[in-house]
Amino acid sequence: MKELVESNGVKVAYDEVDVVTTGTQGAMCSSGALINVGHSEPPIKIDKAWINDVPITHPGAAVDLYIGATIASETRGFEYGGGHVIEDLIGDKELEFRATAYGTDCYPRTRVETTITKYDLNQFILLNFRNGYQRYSCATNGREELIYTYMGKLLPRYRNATYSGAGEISPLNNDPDYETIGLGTRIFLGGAPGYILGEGTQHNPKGKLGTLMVKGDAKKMSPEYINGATFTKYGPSLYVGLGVPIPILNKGIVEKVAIRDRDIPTGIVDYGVPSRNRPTLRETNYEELKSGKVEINGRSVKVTSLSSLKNAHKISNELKRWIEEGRFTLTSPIERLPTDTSIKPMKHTLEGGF
Amino acid sequence: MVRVLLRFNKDLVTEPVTSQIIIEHKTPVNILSARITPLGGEMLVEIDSRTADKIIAAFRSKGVIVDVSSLIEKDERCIDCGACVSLCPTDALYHAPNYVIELDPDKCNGVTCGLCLDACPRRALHLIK
Repeated sequence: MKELVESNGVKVAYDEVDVVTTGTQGAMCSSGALINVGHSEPPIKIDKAWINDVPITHPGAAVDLYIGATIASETRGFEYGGGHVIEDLIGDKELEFRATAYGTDCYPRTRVETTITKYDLNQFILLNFRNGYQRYSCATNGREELIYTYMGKLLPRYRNATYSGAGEISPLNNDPDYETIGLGTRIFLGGAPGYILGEGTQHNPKGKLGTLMVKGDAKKMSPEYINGATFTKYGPSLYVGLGVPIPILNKGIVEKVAIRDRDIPTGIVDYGVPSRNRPTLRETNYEELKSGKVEINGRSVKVTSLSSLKNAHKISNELKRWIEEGRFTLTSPIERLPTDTSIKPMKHTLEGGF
Repeated sequence: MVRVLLRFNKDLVTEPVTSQIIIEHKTPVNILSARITPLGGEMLVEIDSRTADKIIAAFRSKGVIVDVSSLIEKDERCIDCGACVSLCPTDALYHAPNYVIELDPDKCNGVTCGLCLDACPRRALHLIK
């Protein structure tokens, strides 16, 4: 589509193309899965629960649980976490489940131990509250020492750099005014159809840093597109494969989906400075980042993606195939994502705190 | 050229083993990378293929363990992100044009480097012992 607009112009592209598919697959920490494990006999109102020794959050009624992607195992530490539990369940593995409770008149049981697979669960819903960042900073490290971050391992004295996001094929960059994206938009999520629920946390459209909240039936997903991960000395996370179809409703959308990597700016940021106001060393764009080399302080430095660009392309092609085969129909959003909001930092009542 | 990994135990690190072999056999040994501590160490070297057998035998006769296998392997857990690529000093790990991560064993410095190993979010890279 992007080449078609460049070579034949907006009118031809508008006449020929109905839908543009997008894709991205990156580490998205604000992800997790809602599960209902069914009632034991006698029944239990779970207080604490673990799957493969990973603590599972119990935010609601008796046997409803939420597997947070970044929660680490109590026995294996960062090497196995909520993200790995979700991948293993999707991949048909049998996992160890245990729970404890204080016992009530209506839920007398205080302890349960069993094994679970996804087929034992009543619901297994991937429910992610911040996915699909429109774009992200490029990370490097100006310290004299190696550091480990959520942007990967960063060598001292700006000797490497990493970035995240799929650039021109990433969903929100192709509809930056969210004309077709919002509550109810049907999407590709983890290899199955899913839905956008609205803006994600830290959605910042004024800063061109939109995010998505999404859900989908994890029982239908594939471990190819949902991968547990560990960032050394940072913790577990989840790689989420996400694709959004953009219907070409008007010529304005044609111009927007024609966006190229060179049109998507981002900053090279020094993650060696432990502040929320990390210094930006210079501006760059996704074309330069995807070239594999970026200039920092006059020196050419290797830069690579933390997202899987291979899977991002695969997702956009897979979604295209679903639509062509009639297996996936587009929906129009009930409520579009906000376009005029920004985010604020935390208010402190006490300074310091390292 | 043949790339081999030399492993020295703690008794050998105090001996000028490599220099002796270079002098005795009048042959260059190109040291690509090395990690030596008082407890032992590893050295990745290149030797001329015509004299490789003789030189490998010479190192072995002095008690050095010589490995000629590949140094790092990548398993099926790899999802082709690039967390390893920007760290690799020899471009042994690289993105192919189709965005697949490839590993060129002829360029890898293995145990003498190892920068990529704990950077892989999928723990798909392993040092071959």
